[in-house]
Amino acid sequence: MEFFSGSSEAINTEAAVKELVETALNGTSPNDIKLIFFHTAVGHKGQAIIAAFKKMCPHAELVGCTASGVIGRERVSEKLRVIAAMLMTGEKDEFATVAKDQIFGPNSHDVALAAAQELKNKLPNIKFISVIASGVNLDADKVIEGIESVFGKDVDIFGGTSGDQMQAKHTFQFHNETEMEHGIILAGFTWPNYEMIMLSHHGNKIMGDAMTITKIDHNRIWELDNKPAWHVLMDRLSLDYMTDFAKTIPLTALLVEIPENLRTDYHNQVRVLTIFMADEKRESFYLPTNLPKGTKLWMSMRDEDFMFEGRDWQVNKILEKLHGRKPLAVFHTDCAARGKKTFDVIEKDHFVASMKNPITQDDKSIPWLGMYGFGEFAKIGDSNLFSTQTSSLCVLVNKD
Amino acid sequence: MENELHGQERSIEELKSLCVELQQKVDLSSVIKLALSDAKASLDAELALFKVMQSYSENALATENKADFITLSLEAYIEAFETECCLIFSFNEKNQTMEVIGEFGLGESVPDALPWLPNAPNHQVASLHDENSELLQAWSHLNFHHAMVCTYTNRDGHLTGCIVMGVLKGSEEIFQPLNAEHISSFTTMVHLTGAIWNNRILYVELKERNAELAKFAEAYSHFVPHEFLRLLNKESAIDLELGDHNELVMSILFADIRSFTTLSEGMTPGESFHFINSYLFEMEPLIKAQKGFIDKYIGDAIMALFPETADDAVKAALSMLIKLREFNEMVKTKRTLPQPIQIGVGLHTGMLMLGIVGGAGRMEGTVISDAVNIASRIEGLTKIFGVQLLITENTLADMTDKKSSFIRPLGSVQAVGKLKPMKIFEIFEENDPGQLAFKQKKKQTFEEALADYQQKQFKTALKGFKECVHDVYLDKSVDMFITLCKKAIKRGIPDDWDGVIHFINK
Repeated sequence: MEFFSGSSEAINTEAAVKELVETALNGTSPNDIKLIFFHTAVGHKGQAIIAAFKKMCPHAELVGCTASGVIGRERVSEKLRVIAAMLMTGEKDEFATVAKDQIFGPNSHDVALAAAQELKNKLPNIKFISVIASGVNLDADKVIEGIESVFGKDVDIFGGTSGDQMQAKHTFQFHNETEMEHGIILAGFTWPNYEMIMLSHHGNKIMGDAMTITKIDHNRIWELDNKPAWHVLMDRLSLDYMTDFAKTIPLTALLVEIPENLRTDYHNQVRVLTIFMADEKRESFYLPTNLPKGTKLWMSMRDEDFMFEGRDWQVNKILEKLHGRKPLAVFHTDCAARGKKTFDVIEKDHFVASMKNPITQDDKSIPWLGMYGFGEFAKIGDSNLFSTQTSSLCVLVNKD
Repeated sequence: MENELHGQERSIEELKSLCVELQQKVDLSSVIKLALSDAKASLDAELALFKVMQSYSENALATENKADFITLSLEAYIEAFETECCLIFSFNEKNQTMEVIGEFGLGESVPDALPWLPNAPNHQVASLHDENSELLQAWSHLNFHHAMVCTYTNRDGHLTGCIVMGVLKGSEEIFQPLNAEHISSFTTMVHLTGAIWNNRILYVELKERNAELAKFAEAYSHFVPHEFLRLLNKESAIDLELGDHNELVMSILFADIRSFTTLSEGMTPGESFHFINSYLFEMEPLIKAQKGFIDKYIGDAIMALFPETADDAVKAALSMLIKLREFNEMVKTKRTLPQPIQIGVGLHTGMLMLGIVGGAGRMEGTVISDAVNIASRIEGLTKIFGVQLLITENTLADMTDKKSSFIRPLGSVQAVGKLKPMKIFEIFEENDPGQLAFKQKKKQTFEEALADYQQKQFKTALKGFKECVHDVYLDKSVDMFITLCKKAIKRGIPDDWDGVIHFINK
């Protein structure tokens, strides 16, 4: 399989896709492209993107989603009409894609399982699965469970959940000609000769005392410490309960402990779970996973020093694991809250470049596709894990 | 806080209260941090907007046509304000409608024109409208959830059109809403578009007028050559005024077709014009190529001026003779004329007065100079001496390439109406090869015979001239001197004889 990546900030969708494909392929025939992963900010209309890709690369399957921004080979951008893609050649026995619509928190396991089963029927010996799923009202841990129940725990899951302009209202997923608002897409790969080095890191630290979940229904948290869950958080932040939800997203990220065996590889003892929805009355809220009653949660505080230190740790670990090998391609999922909600343009460019440059060994031609989405999947140690507010880097290389 | 804690005994309650206070401060700090991030994001957005406007103003002026300008403008608004749709309207005063001249993001649902309400905002400051506003109700086909509108005017302040951008119903939760903070920058950008638009209109008008002017100037240059204007230190014929003049030394070329009257007798007037024009068409570029210009055509004759050097005039004359050979070959092949044509070319160098003459109703550029008359007379002498190219001593003196192998003196002449005699020379470089070789061979003999003639040694001169006679090639100059020698021997010469040949006829 060959990988190519490109991006464009052109306003006209067709022109943007054309520019992206031409930049990425640099002479390779678009007819050879069999699979395209793409991320786009919400300014482009989904059907226009699909039509443009189909026109440029008529033999390619499409897998994509909206995001708050993209991290392409050439640029980091959160403009409203930015688009980035990874274009792949390949044979029929190397990959397969499936999609299911109408996935929500309570049915996440079942829908993911059905999708995984369909994927396995198409191509049995899959070792790597890229997940693109709705960024709103999803139980991501159940998605992982559903997939693992079909492919086993050995399968490597990477990818992320779609985003919007940090409003957490409408995110979209694209599979071939289909545009979904609550969909899940699985792209499975056999890749017998490849290895994927995956590491995530967030920069959040525990802030204050723990809060205990005292009432939960699937991924909807009703009460913390026997009080309306949303009220507890807003009281802690001295904010009005009816504060514009979008503005609270970066503030209300909660921390939950991860199993001890993952803590070294995660470089942390807690993972971040961003609240992606609050109910209309502002009493309960939704997390992207299903936690048992009694689970302790903490408010979090982003610590920039910890973010930078974590980024360097992550890059060094990846370099260590690369043993000097050059990546074939890098799939990068970053949290929307780590984009403009954290850094200005210059800081963000610098932050991403500090990951890109060492990993690619300053080779600007190495394909790189990333997005600022609402959540990130990556294999940490031996476990597939979903978390939010991380930089998750999935570096594909030839096996040693 | 640290100082408060150290060195003091505190109760559990006090410590708990301090913890709560501390936690609240920490919680608040994350809110403040977020506000700071938002401020940074706003600054980035402002900077991005400024960059878009800067790039827009640079690129918009360079767009080649209206369609490109509209597309560029629409995309600039979409990029600058990160909104969903944008429309550019042109105001139709007669119908009181806004006609759509460009749209982005609305697709096929856009009508050609929309009503413009009499009380619609027209104060050139952007206004924000929600879906219930009077304007968006009147424009309900567009399906806007909210929109921002700003008008633009022409140079005279009259309403020219408006620009509208906004978010459609159903997209309000996808796109960030436009708000009051956008009004100022949107207004600025619309005015920028209006200014560029007006400039483009002016530019197009200017371009059209310039093209007309260029056509006019081109047409006029056929009558008043650019070089003529340049020599009068004028940019254009428009700048010419009666009495403009300049005094300069130049070489003057006269070229005339021999026996054209006889030649044209066998032609219709149309054929005569066609023939002359085809001949002149061939000759004109040769003059231009040597930095000369045609002052006027006099029937089939050409009068050309060479402002820089006499060499230019000689080169042009020789090129004309070469071209004439080719022209005759063509004429011969196509049989358009009963016989080949011959031309005579005369050159003289002297002081000229270029100027504008005429009256209030009509004026023209002309050259006033005795030198012009001399050049004309010299051209006339080519017939008498039977040569192709004659130059005066002034021209020879100015030539850096004296062409000594191809030049021979033909004595001194005094043309009719001229007081001073003048030495003349033939340049035979473009004679038939046989004749050229013979003239070169006999050059010294001829020059010695001419010297003898001028020193009244007519018998010796006659002998010399007779040696220059060829069996095949007619040399009228030699024949003329033989005749003159014979006359002098037979009839004698007056006491004041000075060797100058006097011509009575023009």
